Amino acid sequence: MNALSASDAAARADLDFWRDLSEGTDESGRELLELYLTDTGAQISLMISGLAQGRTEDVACAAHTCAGSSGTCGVDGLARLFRQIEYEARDARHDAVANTLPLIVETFDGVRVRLLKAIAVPATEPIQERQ
Amino acid sequence: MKTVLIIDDNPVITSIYRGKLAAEGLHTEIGVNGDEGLKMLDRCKPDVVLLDLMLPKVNGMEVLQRIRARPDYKNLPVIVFSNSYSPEIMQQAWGYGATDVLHKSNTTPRNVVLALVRAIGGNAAPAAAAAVAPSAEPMQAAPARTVVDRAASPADQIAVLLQKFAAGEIASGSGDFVRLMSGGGLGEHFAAPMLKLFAAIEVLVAVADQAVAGPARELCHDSIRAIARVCRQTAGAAEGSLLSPVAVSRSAH
Repeated sequence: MNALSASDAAARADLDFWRDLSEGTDESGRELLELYLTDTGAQISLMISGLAQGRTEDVACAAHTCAGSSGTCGVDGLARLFRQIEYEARDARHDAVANTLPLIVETFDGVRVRLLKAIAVPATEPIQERQ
Repeated sequence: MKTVLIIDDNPVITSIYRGKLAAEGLHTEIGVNGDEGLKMLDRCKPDVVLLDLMLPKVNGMEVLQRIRARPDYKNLPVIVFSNSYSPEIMQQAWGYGATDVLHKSNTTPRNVVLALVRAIGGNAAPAAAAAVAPSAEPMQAAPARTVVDRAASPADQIAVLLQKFAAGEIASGSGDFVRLMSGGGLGEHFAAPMLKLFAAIEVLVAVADQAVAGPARELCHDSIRAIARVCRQTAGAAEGSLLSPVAVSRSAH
């Protein structure tokens, strides 16, 4: 099984989507996206350390959290991968978890780059408006 | 101002709903674990609770039980908002007195807000209501967890439900699914295994999607169609003794 492409994993990669999701401004949309990326990255780190220590229940718990936030944020491809690894971890299928986790890491990296690029402040925007 | 207490340890989820609810003119309080949520219940006296199930310290199901054990909170609307894929857990939430049960992955934020607003009487929801139906009675327009027409015959409701399931538009743990399978007159001996089967099919479809396995996906859909036939026959045979919409949603409590 291969990692998902970033576009398959996160169909909605535009600032409008994140702004609407945050019910605020472009800035609050960016903050929400950053929160999603930071929190998901931290949970993936927990999954990696959980796997290394053989604690599949920790992997399941972190995957459960990520599946919920990814689904809510429209990153459906990643949400499916998190759900899959959650099931594998709950069944204590260590080998399956070890196979799926690298896919998640790779897919998440692609998603992060795509999302950050999509919401980047346009180069033509005056500096003072960025602050 | 009405207050919504969100008990959820996921900062992304709470951040989203804090913003969404503020836009509806609702005040939000957050409890990041079950223990804190219970303490905040007394402190902020919420008008409705949005409750995750998988929580640190005290899990959501126990929080729900403790809330319902108190006479002063017997009628407090509690909407369970979970990412659990276990039909048993979703059924258990109904059994413990959840006002509604929503699934995180197949309920849009707008529908969650609508469910919350509806639970507290629908008086503070101009934005969400307008988004659904700009009529004089917007809150009756789009129940959050109802995707099938409850006025239709039980057999037809189940057929629609299964079509939507096959199309990936509804998850096996959703409110309609549990309602129709558990309270739809199919019988407990039939409903419980069916719910498990649908959850398993969901996993299979997800795996098939990941593996780009067209034949496997087709096989899943063939299975769903076969199950649909059995459901239709079973529900059809039992028609007349089946659910009335109101009775069914209450029967699980």
